[in-house]
This record gives sequence, structure tokens and C-alpha cells, in this order.
Amino acid sequence: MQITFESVNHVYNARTPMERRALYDIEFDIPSGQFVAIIGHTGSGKSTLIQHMNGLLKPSSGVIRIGEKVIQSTEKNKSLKEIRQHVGLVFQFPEYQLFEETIEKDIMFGPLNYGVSIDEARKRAYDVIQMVGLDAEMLGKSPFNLSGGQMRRVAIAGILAMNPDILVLDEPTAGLDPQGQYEIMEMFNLLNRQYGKTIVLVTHDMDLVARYADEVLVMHQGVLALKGSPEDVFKQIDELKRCGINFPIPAQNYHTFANRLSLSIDKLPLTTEEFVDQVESVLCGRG
Amino acid sequence: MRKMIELKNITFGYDADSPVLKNYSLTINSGEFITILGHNGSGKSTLSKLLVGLMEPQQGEIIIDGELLSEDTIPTIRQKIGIVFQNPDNQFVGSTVRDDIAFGLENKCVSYDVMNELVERYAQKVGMEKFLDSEPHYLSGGEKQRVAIAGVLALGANIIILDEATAMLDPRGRENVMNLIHELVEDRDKTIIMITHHLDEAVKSDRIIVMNEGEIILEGVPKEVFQEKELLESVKLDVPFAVKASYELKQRGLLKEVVTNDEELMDELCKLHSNR
Repeated sequence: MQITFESVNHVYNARTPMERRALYDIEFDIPSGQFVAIIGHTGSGKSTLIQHMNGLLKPSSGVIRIGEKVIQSTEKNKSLKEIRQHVGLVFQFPEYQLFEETIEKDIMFGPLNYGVSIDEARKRAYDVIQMVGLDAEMLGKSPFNLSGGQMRRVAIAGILAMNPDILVLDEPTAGLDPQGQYEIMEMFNLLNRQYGKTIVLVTHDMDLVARYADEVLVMHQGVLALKGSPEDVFKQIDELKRCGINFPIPAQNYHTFANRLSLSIDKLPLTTEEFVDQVESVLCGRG
Repeated sequence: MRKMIELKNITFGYDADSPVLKNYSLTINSGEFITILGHNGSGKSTLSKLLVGLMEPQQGEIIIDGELLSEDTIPTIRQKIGIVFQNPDNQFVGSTVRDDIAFGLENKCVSYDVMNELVERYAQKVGMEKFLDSEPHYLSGGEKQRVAIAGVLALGANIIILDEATAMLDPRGRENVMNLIHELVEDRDKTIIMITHHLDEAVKSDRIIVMNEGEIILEGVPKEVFQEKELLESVKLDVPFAVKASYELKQRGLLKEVVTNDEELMDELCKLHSNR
């Protein structure tokens, strides 16, 4: 399901002394099935932007299209219900939203609210618990005795049970250990490649962006500053610095290395392997 | 060197069949900065709960600053230990920065003048003196964690445990808190135990303890520990970029040794380039 933003503006507390403009003429589209990363400094408008994707916020002006559906300032909240079914928004630390006695009940909560039958909701819980890499035997247990990483998976399973086409993730790896981070990112990758879900990932971790994203959107002070593939975006060194964005660590190091030796930079390495290859070719006089 | 913390043959489990810590012994000296590394579930946070007597080991003894931890000594021992936890929002109890730092002091019935003096001194120490009257929702996660550290310092704790205190922060907040920790380390009047799963935060510690399934599997200065790239990765720890890159460059015959941080890596590579 495609996402399109057409000159979207957002003003918080419009026509009050607290008025603050958060988004300026945002335009982009995300084709169905893409893995997109949104990066930007704290306060750049990332969170405001993603809350427009399922109508939690409505634009002050402009239009958002989710598949055939439209979100604009005049839209009634009632008509947003269907959009919310298609766009699952996973907030930061979603495990804090778990509340039911059992994992199964917690996962079934969303679908039941949307009028799905109990049997169907139970079947979905059985399916999605496995999609997030947990054992179906855990369904009868309390979600509160799980580790942090497992709780997060259960919370995400609750979103997947709505069967959304688009998954919007706000810092999904924050607070997880490296293995937990790796596993959860591989899970999103699988949801993208195997189940065809469109993934929108908000993150501070540039190494994840380099590894997983097809496309990167860079936000700066409420403006969409850059858009392109990770290779193209991380080439624009000066522009990214202006936006206060860190580079992936291999790129940062290569940049320092090249500067100290006054080498020209054709391409910044985004992964450790690329870094080692590039350094080797410099040191061995190739390339 | 004076021993500050001694754990002798500790065994502890939440249920009897599966111990979280197995016959665990560890000595930490006064003024030492030690990092305990391990993935989630390796037993590292259990350790911090045992140290302050929140839980009792089934076997073994814990000696803190020369005193055996027991029901009678818990109150005095707790005054020596301050813990900063993971979630900045859960441990901010005051309505302003000033109130928050003062909270522990009020409980200890410190006089008003002394309290004011302490609050201001430690707010300054952690670089939050300009925010004394700020409310928590105007502070970033990193700033809240600095306030939590000020609260611990104001109480006069001489052992500070940072239990994944940076895990929920963004990169800037993490750097902010790590800089403060490094400043405290330089003063050398506190024993600092940092519990984390970020290896890059351990680079400047005096000693690293790597835990897996309730046991110490590796112990040493950072440089030694980071040589064990494969072992670290096998217990689900992510080694820093400089270690990974220099390990690979060593495999390819370009570098002689694995280095631990980015600066060293750059120095080595530039040396290689000029010798070429």
C-alpha cells in the first residue's frame, strides 16, 4: 500500500500564543513494499511526520494518501478507522502498553475492537506470535514475566494481529541488547521481504539505516532535507552535517582516515566490510 | 589497594532449579571503574540487586567496605551505594531538578541550609546548575540521568552502580552521560560499576568483566578483553567497530594487533600508509 504526502504542513496549537509550526510542505511518496528509514535530529519533526501516517495527527494543510484513502484537515475521525487498520504504528517502548493477563488476550485486543470474531482473533494471535519469533506455547502466559525484548515482540504482535499493510516503527531497537536489536531488525526485514509489509523505520542508528533501508528520508527543522538511497544520502556529507546527522561509524572513520591522508573520497563505506575493502585498496595502492 | 566490594561464592536463583548466578566471586577495589558486560538475561542486573540487599543470595557472602551484608547491616550499607537505573522517567520523583536532587536528602532529614548547599554543589558537578528550577518534561533523557547521578552523589554514596543507565538514551544523551561518568572516574574518590551491553562504553574502564549465564567468562583490561572478538560475539555481544575492522585487517595481514578504539585505529592506519 502506497503512502503519498502532498505539500503537508502541520502547525501545533494554531491561532494560539503557543503556535508552533512543525512540518513545512512535506512531499514524498513511498511505494508499496519498500523499507524506508526516517532520520533526523531530535526535534526535527520525525515523530510529527509519522503520526500523520495513520491520522493520529491531521495536516493543517495538504493531503496524505494511504492507498486509496485520503487524510486531510477536513477529514472526520470516523473515516480514519479504516486507515488505522492498514497502518500499524509502533511507538517507542511499546512494551509499556501491554496490559492484559495473558499474551493471547493482549494480542487479541486490537482485532476484537475492530469487530473480528473471537475464533478469528485467536487464530491471528496464534499466527502472529510465530511471526515475531516466539513460541505459540507462550500464549497462555502473562506478558509481564517476559524479558524486555520478548515483551516488545508481543507488543508488536498485537499490532500485526490487525494485519496492517504498513508498519511504522519509532525507534524499535532502543534499549535492547545487541542480539535483541539484531533479531528484531531481522524480523522487520522478514516482514518486509516475505510478507510484503511496507516498513517505515524512525531511528538514530545510522548503521541500521545503511544495512536495511531501501530509501532514506532526512528531516531537518520540519523540512524534508534529503531523500534517496543510503548510498546517495550518505554521500552528501556537508548537507548531513548541517542537519546534525551522524554518519554510520564505518563512514565516519573512513572520512577521518581520508582527511588525515588528504585522499579524495569517491564513496563512503557504510559497513565494516566495505571499510576494510576500501582501506585495503588504499594501502595496497589499488583503486 | 583497599577492597570495596567482595563477593564470595555467590549462588542465587529466582527459582531453585535454575540459578542466575553460579558460585560467583568478584573483588572490586576502592576507586576502581569496572564495567560488567553481558547480554540481557546474563545475570548482570541480578548482581546489582544483590549488592544493595534487595535480594538475598542462597549461598555465599557479600562484604561491602569491610562489612558483611546482612539484615542488620543493610541500612548502613545502602547509604554507601547509589544506583542509577535504566529508565530516566521512572526515577525522576521531584517536580523540579532541585526537588529531585533534594529528595533523598529530605528523607535523611538533612538540615535546610546543608541541603541547599549540597543540591547546588552536585547540580554544578553534573552540569545541570542552570536547570535547577526546570520541570522534568523540559529535560532530555540524558539530562534526567545526570540529575539522577547528582542525587546519588549528594547522598554521599561512595559506590555508584549504573545499571544500563544509558540504554534508553539517544546517541547524544548517551555521550552526555558517558562524559560525566568519565569525569567522575577521574576524581577517583568513587568506586564505579557500570553494567551495560555496549562494549564501546567499556573502553575506558580499568577492568571489564564479561558475564554469560551467571558466570564470569572473561575478565581483564579492555585491551585484553577486546582481543577475544570471537568469544565476545559468541555470547551475543557486539564488539566496537575499531575491534571488528582491525581484526579483519589483521586477518588480511595489514595490521599486527587488534585495537580497541577509533583513534588508535586511525593512528595505526596512517602509520601503515606512511611506511608504505
